[in-house]
Amino acid sequence: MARVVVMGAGISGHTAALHLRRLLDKAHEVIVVSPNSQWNWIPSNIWVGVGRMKATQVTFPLKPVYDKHGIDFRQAKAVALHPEGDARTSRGFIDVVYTEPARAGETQSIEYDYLVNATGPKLNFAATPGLGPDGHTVSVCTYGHAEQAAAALAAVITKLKAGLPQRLVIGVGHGTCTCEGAAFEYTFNVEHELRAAGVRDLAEVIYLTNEYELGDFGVGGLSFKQNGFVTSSKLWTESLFKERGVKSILRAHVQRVEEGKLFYETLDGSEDSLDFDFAMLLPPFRGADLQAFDREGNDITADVFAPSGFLKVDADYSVKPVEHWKAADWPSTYVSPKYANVFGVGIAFAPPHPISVPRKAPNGTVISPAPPRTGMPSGLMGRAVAMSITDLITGKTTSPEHRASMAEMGAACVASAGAGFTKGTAASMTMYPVVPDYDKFPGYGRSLTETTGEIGLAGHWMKHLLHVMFIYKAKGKAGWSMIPE
Amino acid sequence: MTRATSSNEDTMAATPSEIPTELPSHRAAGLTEPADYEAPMPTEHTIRMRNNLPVQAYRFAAVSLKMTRMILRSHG
Repeated sequence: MARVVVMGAGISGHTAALHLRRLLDKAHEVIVVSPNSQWNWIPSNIWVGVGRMKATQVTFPLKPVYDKHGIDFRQAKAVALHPEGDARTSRGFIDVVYTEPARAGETQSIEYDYLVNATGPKLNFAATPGLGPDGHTVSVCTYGHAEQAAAALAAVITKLKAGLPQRLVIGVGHGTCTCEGAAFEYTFNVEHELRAAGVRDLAEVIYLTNEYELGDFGVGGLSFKQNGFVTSSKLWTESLFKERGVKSILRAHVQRVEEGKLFYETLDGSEDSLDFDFAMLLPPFRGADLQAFDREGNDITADVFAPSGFLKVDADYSVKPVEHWKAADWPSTYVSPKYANVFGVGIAFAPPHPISVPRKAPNGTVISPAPPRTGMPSGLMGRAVAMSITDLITGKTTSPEHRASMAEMGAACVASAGAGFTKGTAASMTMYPVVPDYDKFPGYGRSLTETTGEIGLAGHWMKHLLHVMFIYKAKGKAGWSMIPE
Repeated sequence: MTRATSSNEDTMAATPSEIPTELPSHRAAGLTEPADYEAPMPTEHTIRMRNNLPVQAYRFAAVSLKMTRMILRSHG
């Protein structure tokens, strides 16, 4: 009998757990450790953040789903990893602290035969003083944050209706942030809500980002075919911003935030401040606060994790110039190079390097996006690792064989705004692959057939369909495994 | 652009004592105004088509097909 422990119940961890339970004989144990009791379809938090959806529409309790599928759920936070065991046991184990109200603060060690680290990101608001819901800005990273953002936006709309001009700043709160696509989506949604409320003319909307140019999205921008031309996501995004009257501040790093005022520097070395009435700024991410220890109890965190706190996996982490970056640098099996029974998926794995060109201000401040690895890529990684572990447990293979490289998978980003069948609008993008492969796709690095950009109601319908489909799938209902990741 | 030219001409024609002494309002570092984007504006027709039901039903089918192909390729 083998025991697989999955740390984290986000898109990648939850997907891995469901597939492991589906593929493995019931004699084997699947344990999920997550500090949250709820599963959250994070892409729809954007709608919660503008008040179009309630938090209950984007979440559901994990325990009933896990009970139904025979997965052991422990509502706890993993704090330490002992991949070599200790003097007591040679089996690897993790230390957890319960967050479940009835057992809050209780600690436990959970042994494993295979471990999947899918802890997602630590929302590092502390990297920018004054950033975040405990400071002076709002966020849409969690459903709770998104509810606060919706309330703040409603207050701003009330002031606008009273004739008071308001400045809304939306974007990223640090030079090294990722998920610019989410900030773009939220901007698009807020702008739509301001129009719907009839107050757009009094509102100044500014998109503040660490991207070198609009449409970078942390993937170095996209190229796609449109009306007989190959166009860029830069032009496509700029056109949308121009049409909607959205201003932008590019190449920016937010240094600190005070009540109603943020201070920032830009790549050319300029420094400035900006007053605001509403600011939704995403935080930078880092790995969960996990420490690793060897059998003797020595701290080996730096060997197992990258300095960013993300787990090192089968990537090429050698430092090389941008022109030498290759698709093959990116991991495919997500196994730790140090421990063959430890895997890292979703945001929890350490990427070998960014996808966008890294840049620094004259004073050394890094102002360029970190690579995104959410949504479908996270789900695919979770599934591949579940299949590899199953093969290892059943003896079918002796090393992980299932691959899910971000250089061999696509992603979709649908920024949908509004409600109703005919009243919505959306900007939809697909890309293949996420990490450009200039050997396979000379010139643009991506397939011009499967990389697309489109604006219209069709994307709005698509986003609603995805919302319904993925929540159904995550609930593990009949036929869930037939729905793609 | 027309407004800027007109304003410049006015300033050029003014005597030194008539030149406004107030500095132009502060523009935040790196700020791009919508009019400064180089990208083209969509035409009224393009904007209308984005919400035209038959057109969007066709686009939905086309986007779904492309997305399905991309998803299948990603799933190996």
